[in-house]
Amino acid sequence: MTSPSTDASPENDSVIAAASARNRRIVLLGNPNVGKSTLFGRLAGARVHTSNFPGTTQTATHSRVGTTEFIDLPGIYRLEASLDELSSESAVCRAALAGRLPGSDERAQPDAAIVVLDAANLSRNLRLAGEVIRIGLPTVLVVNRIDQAERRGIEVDAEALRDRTGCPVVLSNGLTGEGVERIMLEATGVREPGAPLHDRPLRVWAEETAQSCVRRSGNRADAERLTDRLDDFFLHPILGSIAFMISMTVLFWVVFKIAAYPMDWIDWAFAVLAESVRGVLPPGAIRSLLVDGVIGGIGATVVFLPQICLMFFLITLLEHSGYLPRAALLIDRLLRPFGLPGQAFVPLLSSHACAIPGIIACRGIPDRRERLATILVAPFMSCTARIPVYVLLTSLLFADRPALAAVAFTGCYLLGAATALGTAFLFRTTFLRGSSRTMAMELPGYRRPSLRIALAATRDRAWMFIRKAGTVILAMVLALWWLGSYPIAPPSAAAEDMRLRAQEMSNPAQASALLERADRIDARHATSETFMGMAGRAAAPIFRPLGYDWQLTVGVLSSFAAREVFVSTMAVVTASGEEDAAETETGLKRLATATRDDGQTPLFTRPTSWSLLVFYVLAMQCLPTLAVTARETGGWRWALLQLSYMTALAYLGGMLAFALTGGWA
Amino acid sequence: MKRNRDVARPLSERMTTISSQPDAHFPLTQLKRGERAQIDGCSLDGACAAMIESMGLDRDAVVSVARIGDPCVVLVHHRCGGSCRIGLRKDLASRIAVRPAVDG
Repeated sequence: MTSPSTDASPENDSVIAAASARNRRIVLLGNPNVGKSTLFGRLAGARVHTSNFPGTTQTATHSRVGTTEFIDLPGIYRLEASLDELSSESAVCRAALAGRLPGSDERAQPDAAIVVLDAANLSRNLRLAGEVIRIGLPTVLVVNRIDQAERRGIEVDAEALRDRTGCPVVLSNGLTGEGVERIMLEATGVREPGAPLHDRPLRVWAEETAQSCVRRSGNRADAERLTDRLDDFFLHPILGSIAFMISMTVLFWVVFKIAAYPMDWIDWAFAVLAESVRGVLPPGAIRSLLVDGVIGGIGATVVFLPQICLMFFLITLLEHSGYLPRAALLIDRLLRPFGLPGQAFVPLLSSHACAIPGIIACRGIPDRRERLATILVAPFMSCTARIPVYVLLTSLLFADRPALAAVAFTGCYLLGAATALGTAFLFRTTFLRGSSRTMAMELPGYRRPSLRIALAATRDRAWMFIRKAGTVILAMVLALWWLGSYPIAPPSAAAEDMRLRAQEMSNPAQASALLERADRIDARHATSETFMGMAGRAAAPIFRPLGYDWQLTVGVLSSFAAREVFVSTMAVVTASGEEDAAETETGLKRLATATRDDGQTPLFTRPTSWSLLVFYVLAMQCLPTLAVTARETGGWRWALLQLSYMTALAYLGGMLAFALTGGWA
Repeated sequence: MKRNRDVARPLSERMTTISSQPDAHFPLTQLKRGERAQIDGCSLDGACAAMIESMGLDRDAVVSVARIGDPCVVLVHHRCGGSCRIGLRKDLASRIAVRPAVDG
C-alpha cells in the first residue's frame, strides 16, 4: 500500500508545480449529517456561491481558495443509480464526478475528491468512499466528528485506514476546525487514486476496512441512553407534539413579531434617505427615478433581510441541535396525506410570515418533487404583506362589527392554508406524481447547537438572497416604477384653478387645505394617465366578472409587484379632492364612500369587497417571491407556472365570491 | 402477519409460533426494545428498498429497536463497534423482516 501524498521526490515536485499552474477542482462528498457543510465552510471561508444543477433543484456550493476550487455536493448515501427514482442527489453527484459540474460549461472532471466520513458510523460511510475509490479519482478520506465518536468509546486509527485504502486520511472536528489545514494540504497534494477494491463487494470491503481501523474503548451506553430518552420524549405522539408546537410557536413569533422591529427601522431609514434625496434634487425624472425607483427598489429588497436572517439563524440552531429531523419525522403523519413530507412543515409555517424565507427553507426537503410542490404552494399561506389588504377589506365589509371582521380575517388564513394543501395534493397526484420518499431518516446525536455555525449559515443565506434575488427584484421594481410614472400628465385644469384660488386667499390654513386638495386631484389624474392607468382601463373588462371597475383594476395591477401596494394605490386613485384635509381615519372613510365613474355606485360594494378579499388570499401578487422561486427551482419555468396557477385560481375564486355574495344579481 | 400482541414473550418462542423453520422471520415492529436481530429482507418496492439499504438497513445488518411506536427508532449496529440511528414510520418498519441475531 502506498500513501501517495507523502512522496516528495524531485519529479513529483515538478509534476505538482505543473498541475498547480491550472485550477484544481476538488469535490466534497459524504453521507447526509456527517458535518460536511461545516467542514466546507471551514475550508472555503466566507466567499462561497451556489449554483443549481441544470434542471434540478439540487445545489452545489463553490468556493475558490487560491488556485483550488472546492465544490460541496449534496449529501448522499450511495452513488449507485438504483436510488435515482427517490433521490436526485445521487444522480447529480455522479454527473459531477463524470465532469458535468454545475456552473461550468466546460466538461471538466474533478481532480480529486474529499469523502467526509462519520467516525462513529464508519462501516456504512465507507461504502460511499469505496464507490469513489472505484471510479479511480484521487481521494482523501476525512474522518469527522472524532470528538463525538470518542464520547461513544470509538477511536479511529488513521494509519490503519490509510494503509488499507491507499488514500490519505485526516481526522477532523469541523466544530473546532481541528484537521482542516491537513485536509487542505492533502487535498491539494493528492495525485493517485486509492488502492483498488478488486471484486470484493462494497459492503464486505467497507465492513472489513472499518473493523481493521476502529478501536473500541470504554462504555458508550450512557450517551446512547440519553439519546434514547430524548427520542422517547420528542417522538412521543402527545409530548412530542407539545414540544413541537412550542418550538414552532417561538420560531413563528420571532419571524413574525421580532423581525417587525428591524423591518420598521429599515423602512424608516429608506424613507429618511428618500426624503433627503428629494430635498436635494430638483423635481423631475431623475429625482423620481432615484427616490421612487432606486431607493424604493433597494428598500423593497433589504426589508426582507430581518425575516430571512432570524429564520435561518433559528432553523440552523434547531437543525444543529439534532431536533429538526425528529420534528420532521413526527409531523410526517400530518402532511403525508397531502403528498408533502414532514420537512415541509417549517417552510409552510414560516411562509405565514413571508413566503421568501419559507421557499428558501425548502432546501431542507430532500426529494425533488416534494420540494417543488412545497415551493409552489408556499405563497398561498397568508403572509404579513397581506395583512394591510385584509384589514382594509374586512373593515370595509364589517365596519361596525369588529367580531365578524376578526372571523373573516381568520377565515382568510384558513382559506390560504387549505388551498395550499389542496394544491399540493393536486400537484403530487398529477405532474409531480411520484412515489414518496420513504420516511426513513437518519437521526443524528443531540448536540449543543453552535452559535458560530448558525451565524455563518445566516450570513450565507442573507448574502445569497441579496446577490441572486435582490438584483432581479430591483430590476422589476424599476420596471414597475416606470410603468406607474410615465407618461407624465400635465397638471389638470381643475387643480391649477384651485392653486390660483389658494394664492388669493388670505387665510393660510384654508389656502394650504386647498393646495392639498389640488395635489390629490393631480395625483389621481397623473395615475390614471400613466401606462399603468392605461393598462387598468384596458384590462377593466377582464376584471368586470369579479366586480372591479378601472380604479380597482389599477389597484390590482399596480400591486402585482407587492400586494400591500393595493392600499396606497387605492388611496391615490380614489382621491377626489372634495373633502377636507385628511385626518387619520378619513383614508378609510374616503375608500368606503368612493364611487365609480357614474358617481353613484360605491367603489367597494359588498360583493366586490368579498371578491377582492378572496382574490388577495389566493393571488401571487409578489414579484420578490417569484424571483426567489425562479432562483430556488433553477429556472423561470416553475415560477411562471406558480404565477399563472395562482392568478387563475385567484381570478376564479374572486369571481365565485362575487357571484355567491350577489354580485351578479 | 399480525403478531403485535406477542411482544411480551421471549424472542425464541415468538419465532417458533411463526414457523418451525430455523430461519423464520418476523416484522421489525415486533422486536422488544433493546433486543437485537438481523435483517432478513423487506417487502418494499425497488427504490424504497434501495433507499433503506443505502442507509445501512440491508440484509444481515444487526439492528435493535430504541423506540417502539410510530415513528419508531432503529439502531443499526456495525461489527466495528459503530452504529447509526434511523427513524422510521411504523408502516415502513412493519415491512422489514428480521430474524434473531446470530452473533448479537
